[in-house]
Amino acid sequence: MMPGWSDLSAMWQDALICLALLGPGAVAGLVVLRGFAPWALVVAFLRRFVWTNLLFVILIAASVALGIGLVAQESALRMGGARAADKFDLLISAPGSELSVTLAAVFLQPTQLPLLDGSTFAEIAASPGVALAAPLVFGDSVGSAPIVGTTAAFVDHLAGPVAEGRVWQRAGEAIVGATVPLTLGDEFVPAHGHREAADQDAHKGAPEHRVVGRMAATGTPWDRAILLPIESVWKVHGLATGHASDRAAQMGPPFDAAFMPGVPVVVIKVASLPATYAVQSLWQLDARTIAVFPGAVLSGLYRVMGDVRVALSAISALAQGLVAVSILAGLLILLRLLRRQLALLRVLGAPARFVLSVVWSYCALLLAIGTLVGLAAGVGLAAALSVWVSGQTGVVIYATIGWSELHLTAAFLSVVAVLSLLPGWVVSRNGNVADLRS
Amino acid sequence: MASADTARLALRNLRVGGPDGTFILDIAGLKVEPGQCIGVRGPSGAGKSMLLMAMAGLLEGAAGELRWGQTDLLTRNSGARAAFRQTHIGLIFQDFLLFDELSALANASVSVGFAKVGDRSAIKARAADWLRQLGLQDLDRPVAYFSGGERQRVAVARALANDPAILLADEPTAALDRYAADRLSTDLIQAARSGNKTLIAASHDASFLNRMDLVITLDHGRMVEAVA
Repeated sequence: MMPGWSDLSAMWQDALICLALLGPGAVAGLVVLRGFAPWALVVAFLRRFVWTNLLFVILIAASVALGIGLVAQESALRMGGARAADKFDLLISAPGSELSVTLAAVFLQPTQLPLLDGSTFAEIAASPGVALAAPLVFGDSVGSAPIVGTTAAFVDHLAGPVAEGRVWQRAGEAIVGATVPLTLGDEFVPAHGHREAADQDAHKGAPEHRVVGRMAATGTPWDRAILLPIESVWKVHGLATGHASDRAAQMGPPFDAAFMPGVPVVVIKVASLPATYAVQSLWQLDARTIAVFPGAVLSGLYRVMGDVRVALSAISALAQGLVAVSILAGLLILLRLLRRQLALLRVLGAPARFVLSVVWSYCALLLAIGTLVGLAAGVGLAAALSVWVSGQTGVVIYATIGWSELHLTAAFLSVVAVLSLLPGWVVSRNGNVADLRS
Repeated sequence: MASADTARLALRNLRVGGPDGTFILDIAGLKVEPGQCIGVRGPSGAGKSMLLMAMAGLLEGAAGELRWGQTDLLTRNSGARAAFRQTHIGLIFQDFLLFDELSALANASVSVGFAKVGDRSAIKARAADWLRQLGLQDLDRPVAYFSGGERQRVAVARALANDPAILLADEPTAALDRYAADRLSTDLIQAARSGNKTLIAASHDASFLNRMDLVITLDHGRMVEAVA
């Protein structure tokens, strides 16, 4: 690193890297164009083959847009995933797959998880430093919306004050996520299971639940969920409700371990980061439980995805390179149709470098236009993919074009600018008289 | 720029070999004074175009002596010959060789693209001037919309835009109707005489050749007749 590099802001560093990547192409252009003004002839070539030129621009733009769109999407997915896990500092569940626990709790993916018993939950909730121990139970749904049984404190932790209505106060009341297509006052009977596999009649005869509130948007899969008091979920399944019969109307903690059915996941919030590690360590070492940092699980996943990103970027760059080379080969063939005019320039006394500059400008301009159009199209593609992925996963993601995409574009521009010398060099070496008479 | 000495041609033992070992061009000698208009005639394949190409320094492997003023083109490398053409020779072709998508002015001043920066405005001004002198008014119209006669006049303006001392024309009237051919002949000869330029034109057009100072006849690459 040059002296002072680390003193520059990240933006300046990125901008300078961008300029450095553009450097070889810019140098090629300066060397080729020095002292010449080939633009009138370049315009003539653009007009001569307008549809073919348009096709070449579209091909380049498509390859660049796909590359940029996919890479931007992958980054956005990471950020969306990290944001979704933001409210889940620590998860504790019975021994099993850390990934399954994370997918179930953070992304509400239907997963079979072993259960923690009531006494273990009570010990977890009583651990030093634990500010919130929210049990989550899954398994039911309404339409495409998963139902999660939990506590009112978790609703507040997840999304803050409700955006509409109120938090439940008794069994049979529900709060819906920001995008659930139910309105306040709507009533429903849960189905057992999810989507196509859901058994609509499993809870037939159970009392209907009524929507009394709507959570603020979180940009996570929880926006598509319906939240019930955990007691309601247990009751619908014919289980004990976590409280002794003399406290049957109680909603939320404290739970009575003797009357508490199992819970698959407990979301833990601890007052401080060191305390979080202490709680994690405590319950990770306990044979009855695993304690999972969702952020760490996602990081591990992203490490694998990091390799995928490298592979994706390499494949994308290779595809763009192949398209660029194919187009340059196509342009070389196209330029055969102009060989008399190009020979004429030499016959009129133009230096070979002028012919090179005309052909280089024509090729490089087409490729540059295609690349810049591709960059713009990549922004659009990334936005469209974001909408689609958000719809599929519930994780709201915003794919934007960042410096890494700009660096990729700058490098591509530079490479094609240098590669564009090739057809120019080939054409400028042709025999003038033979071409003139062809 | 036009220079009287540069417009003087001295050609001796100019030979261009063919693929079978014979000479496809074999001119023992020819001298042309500045300002002269020379016609070159002969049957197809006699070597008329080849002679013009040799005079323009466009043939690789031509032997002998081909001197424009003090410059023997055959001893120069291709870059030097190109530079000589750019400065001193204006070329006109039978099929015009214009860029259809460009305007008359852009075609006539096409050499500004590779001319020295300081010369560009003068070239453009001369091109516009010649286009107007040759009767063209709409200089910004693409030449694709021009008639054959108009297109050839654009080509003539292009040849004159650098104010060359030498004009070499290969069948300049062949693609034109009689009226356009006569008009172009007049314009070309007038441009040469008024600027003291040497004009050498290969042509089958008897009307055009009759107005030349000297007409040489080629046959099988040899000069068989020279009629003043």
